[in-house]
Amino acid sequence: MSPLLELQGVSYTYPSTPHPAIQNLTLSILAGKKTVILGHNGCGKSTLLLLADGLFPIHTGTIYWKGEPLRYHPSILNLWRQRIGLTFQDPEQQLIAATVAEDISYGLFNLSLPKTEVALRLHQVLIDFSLQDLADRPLHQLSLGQKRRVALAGVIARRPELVLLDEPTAYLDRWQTHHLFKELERIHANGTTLVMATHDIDLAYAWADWVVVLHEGQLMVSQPALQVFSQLEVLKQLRLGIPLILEYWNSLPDEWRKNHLPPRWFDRFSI
Amino acid sequence: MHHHLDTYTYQNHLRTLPPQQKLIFALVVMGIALMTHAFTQGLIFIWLTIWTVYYAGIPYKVYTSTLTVMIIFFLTSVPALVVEIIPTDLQTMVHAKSLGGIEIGNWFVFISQPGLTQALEMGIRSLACFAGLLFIIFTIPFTDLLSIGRQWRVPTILIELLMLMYRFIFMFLDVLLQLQLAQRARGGYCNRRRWMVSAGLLGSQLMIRTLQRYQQFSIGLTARGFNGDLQVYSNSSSAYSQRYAIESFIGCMGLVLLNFMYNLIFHPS
Ligand SMILES: Nc1ncnc2c1ncn2[C@@H]1O[C@H](COP(=O)(O)OP(=O)(O)OP(=O)(O)O)[C@@H](O)[C@H]1O
Ligand SMILES: [Mg+2]
Repeated sequence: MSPLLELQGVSYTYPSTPHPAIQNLTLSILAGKKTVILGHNGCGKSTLLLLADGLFPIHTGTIYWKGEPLRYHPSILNLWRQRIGLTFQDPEQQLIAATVAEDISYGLFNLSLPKTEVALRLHQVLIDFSLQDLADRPLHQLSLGQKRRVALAGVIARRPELVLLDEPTAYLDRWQTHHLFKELERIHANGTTLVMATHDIDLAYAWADWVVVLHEGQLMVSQPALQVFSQLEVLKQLRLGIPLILEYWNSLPDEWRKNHLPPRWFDRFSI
Repeated sequence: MHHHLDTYTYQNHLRTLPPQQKLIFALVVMGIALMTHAFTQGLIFIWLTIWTVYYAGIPYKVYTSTLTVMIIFFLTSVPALVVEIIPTDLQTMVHAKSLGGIEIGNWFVFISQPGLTQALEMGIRSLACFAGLLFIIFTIPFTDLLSIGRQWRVPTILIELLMLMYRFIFMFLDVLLQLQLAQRARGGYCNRRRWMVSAGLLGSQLMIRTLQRYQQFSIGLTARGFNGDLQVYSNSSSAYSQRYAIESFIGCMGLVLLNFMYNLIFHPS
């Protein structure tokens, strides 16, 4: 499978901080996969996603899109962000307009789409994220979970080839989480590559088919999910914990497990 | 999210010097700048810049960009000093001090020679004072400044007001950078038309967002029992440094002496 996005020897230090947040990172995001970026608080997940979207210029290393290096030139960056969509960890920081519909359409107009197309896509995405009733509400009146949905909708509506999601389930209740995963499944089936940053090992286990583990800004693991979750020792060593399902599964009698694979979902997101 | 001026302040290499002494030093040097000649003021500018950039380790780029903002503010006041307008009939009277101008209707608009000289003098003096201000901003954390204020018996209400203003400015900058980052992430500023739309949106949201953030900040303060006196524990113990004390003392004496000599040579009266 060909890499969609590649990072090669990327390092990044925030201005005015002594230590690099990302250190000599070489990583490929494969097209069509559902990749999870796992790691503890402060390991550099959000930073990595911001760099991948070209939002902070890097001084060491290179980022490639299908083999093309990223250069920080306005027209190239513009194209870059048409292909890549990023949802921020904090939805409050992502929303920029006054109402829900205005905010979503802002990103659509930036694609130079005709008005009718914008209206069409807006209508559709409001339905997909069950936001119809909120369309004209001022953003500051929304709850955090609602803001999260607006932020996601604003990115998905632009139909990027690669979507970077920074802890997309935070603040969502079970029902909305279930909904989000259904929506992600749908755009994934349409050929969108998905990357999700999280520290939730259960979520990673249930959803990912590729797992990347970061630790203090460095790459620890980049492997197929099956492989990662068959070496539980590594996860223990990195103190990421073991998926609950696997822990439960391993406690079942042997004859029970013999002829089955452990399930991926606890039925956790199906209500 | 990015580039906070006060992050630089908290990490400056002169952080450990006693804040009172730094403040007094800056005030004394700025006082000298107000009373001396342009030549001495130029030296003061260079000297304080060395303190801030070289001794305190504030990145050169950060220093110059902040200074540029200050200079732009100053430049906006220059036209008022330099350009004069008088009725056309009086034009001959100002011939000697005019550096050229144009007639608009019954009025003569011209650039005045004394005005220009005055603006230049003020410019150099301001430059020296800006360097002093930047030295204070970049080497003394604001909480330290506030505690000096308390020691010097500045009224509590004033200190509280300063503190809140300071928070407001940083929130404003924070919101500005964050909004702009979010806009860029969704392809804002991609062409001239969208540039205008994006900038307009930024402008209209900036104030609202800052006020909302500020409101939350005050709710947070109240929830934690704010009673008009925000004091934080600062564990940075300050240490007296002889090396810097000597340099500042000798430097100040040198400046005064230099100015005195300058007076003797060029303006013996
Ligand atoms: N704006 C910033 N300025 C300076 N340092 C920062 C900034 N943002 C993050 N950092 C630092 O960079 C490192 C990585 O932060 P990052 O936000 O990428 O972590 P994360 O893996 O997303 O953590 P979390 O799980 O808490 O979201 C941390 O050590 C953090 O303190
Ligand atoms: Mg994060």
